[in-house]
Amino acid sequence: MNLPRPLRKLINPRETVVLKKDFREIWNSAGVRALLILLPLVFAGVIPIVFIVLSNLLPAQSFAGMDQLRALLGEAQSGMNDRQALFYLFSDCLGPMFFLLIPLLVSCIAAATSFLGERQHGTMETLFLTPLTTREIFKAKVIGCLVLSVLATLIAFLLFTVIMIVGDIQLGVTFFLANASWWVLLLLVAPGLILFGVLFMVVLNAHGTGVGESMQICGYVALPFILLFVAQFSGLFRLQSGGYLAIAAVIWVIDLFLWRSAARHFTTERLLR
Amino acid sequence: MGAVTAQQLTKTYNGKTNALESVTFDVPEGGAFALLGGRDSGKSTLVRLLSGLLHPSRGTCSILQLDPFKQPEKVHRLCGVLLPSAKMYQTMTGQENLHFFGRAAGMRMDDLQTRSTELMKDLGIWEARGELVQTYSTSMRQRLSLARALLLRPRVLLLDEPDDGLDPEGTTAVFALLRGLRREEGVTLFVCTRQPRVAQRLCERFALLHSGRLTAMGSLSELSQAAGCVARARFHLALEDSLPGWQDKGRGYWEKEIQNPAQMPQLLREVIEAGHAVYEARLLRPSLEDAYVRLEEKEAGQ
Repeated sequence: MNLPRPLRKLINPRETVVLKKDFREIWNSAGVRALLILLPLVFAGVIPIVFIVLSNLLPAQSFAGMDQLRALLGEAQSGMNDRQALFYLFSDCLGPMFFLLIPLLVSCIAAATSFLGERQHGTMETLFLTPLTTREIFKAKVIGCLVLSVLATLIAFLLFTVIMIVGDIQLGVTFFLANASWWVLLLLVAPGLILFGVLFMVVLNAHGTGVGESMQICGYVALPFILLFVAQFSGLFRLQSGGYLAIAAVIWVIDLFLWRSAARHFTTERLLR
Repeated sequence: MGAVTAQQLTKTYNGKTNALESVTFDVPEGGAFALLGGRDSGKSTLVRLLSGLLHPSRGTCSILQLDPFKQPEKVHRLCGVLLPSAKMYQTMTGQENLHFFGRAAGMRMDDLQTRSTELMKDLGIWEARGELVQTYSTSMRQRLSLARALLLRPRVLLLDEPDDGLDPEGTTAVFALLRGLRREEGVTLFVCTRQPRVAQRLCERFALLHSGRLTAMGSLSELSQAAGCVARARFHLALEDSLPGWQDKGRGYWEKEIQNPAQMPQLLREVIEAGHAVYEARLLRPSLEDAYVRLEEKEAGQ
C-alpha cells in the first residue's frame, strides 16, 4: 500500500515503515479495532437515527417540557412544529457533542495503542535501537495517529451527514450544514481535538502512565467537554459559531503547549525510565 | 582508540543512586570483552549508555569513535545491541519482525530477504519464520532478537545476557554464530553476563562489575592470579587408597594445589613410585568461575 502523495512528501520512507507498522498494530488489536468501529458508528450513526425515530414518534400535541426546549432554541424555532424543533435541537445542541467525541476518543485510543502500547510491550526500546532518530520515530507515530483519527472522523462525518440529510428532508428542517457552527466544528474544533488527543497521550506516555489508566484519564478529559454541551440545557447560554470559535482557539493554544511538552519529553532517557 | 571505550563513565539516577561509577575500559576492534556481574550490578545501564539510550551523568563513552548519545542513529548502523528488555513484536511473525526492523533501517528488500533468511537459518529459527512471535519459546525469541541485532552486519556487538533463556540447541547455534562472526568478520564483542562460563566461551578479556564499580579487569590468568586461584592436580586412585597431604574429594579423587603446571609430570612420577595405582591424572586449571567467585567473595568481605 502506497501512502498518498502529500504524506509521502511529509515523511521519509523509513518513517513510512513505522507508520504502516503502527496502522497494522492498531488494526490487529481486536479490542482497539472494535472501539474504532463502534465509536463512530454509535455517535455518528445510531444516536442520530434514534433521534430521527424519536422525533417522528413524537405525539402531535405538545408534551410537557416542550415549551422549555423551544425556549432554548430562541428565534430559530419560530415556525417549526414540535417534531421539527426536537430534531433541530439535536442537530444544533447535542449532535455536535456526540460528533466531537469521535475525534477526541479515536485519537486518544490510536495514540494510546501506538505510544503507550509500544512502551508496555517493550518494543519501544527495540525501536530506539534502530538507526531511526528519536525525532523520526516521534514524527512517524504522531502522523500515523493523526491520519487514522482524521480518517475515522471524516468517515463518521460522512455517515452523520447522510443520516442528518435524511432527517432534515423527512422532517422538513433546514439543512444542518447551513448552520455556520458545524463548519467551525468540522474545520477547527475537530482537528484541534485530534491533535489534543494524540499529544495528551504522548505526554502521559512520558510520565509512565499505562494504557488502561490513560484511557480513563482521557474519559475524565471528555467529561468537562460533555458538561459544556449539556449545560446549554440549563438555559444560561447557547453555543453558536462564535462560541465554537472561542473553544477552538482554547484547544489550539492547549495543543501548542502540549506539542512543546510532548516533543521535549519524547526522549529515550524518559521513556525507558 | 578502541572500538568500545568508556572513560570515568558514571550514571546516577535521581541525583542519588549511582548505577555506574567511574567505569573505564577500552576494547580494541576485533576484541572480545566480557563484563561479569550479578543482578543490579549495572550491566544493563552500561549497555544502554553505550547504545545511546541513556545519557551519562559524568564521563564519556564511544563506539567506533562515535558518541552514542550525540549520534545514536550512526552508532546503531554500526553496532548491534541485544538487551533483554528490548522485545520483538508479538503480533508479527519472526520474519515480519526482521523485515520491519530492516526496512526501518533503510535496507533494500532483496538484501533484507537474503540476510534475514541467512540469520534465521544460522540461528535455527527458519522453520518458525511464519509463526507469530507470541507462539515462540523463550529461546526462539532470544535468537530472533539476536538476528535483529545482526541484520545490518554490525562491526560491534553489545550483548546483554546473550544466553538468557537459551535451550542447549539455541546455545550451540548462538555461540557458533558469534564465534564465527569474530573469526571471519572481525566483529568486536562486548558481552555482559552473570555466567562466567558464557564469558569464558566467548571472550578473552574480562572485567568484574560490582554495585556499579569495576573491581577487577584482565585476562583469565591475570584474574586468577588476582583472586589467588592456582592450578590443581587431580588423581583418581583406588577407593581404599589415600594420599597423605592431599585433599580428599571423595570416591577416590584426590587434589593438590600446584604453583606451576610444569610440576604435574614430576608429581605423577612420585605418586606412581610411591606404589599408588593411578587410574586418572588431570591438571585442573582455574576457570573464570573460580576466579569470579573468589573475587566476589573478597569484594563482599570488604
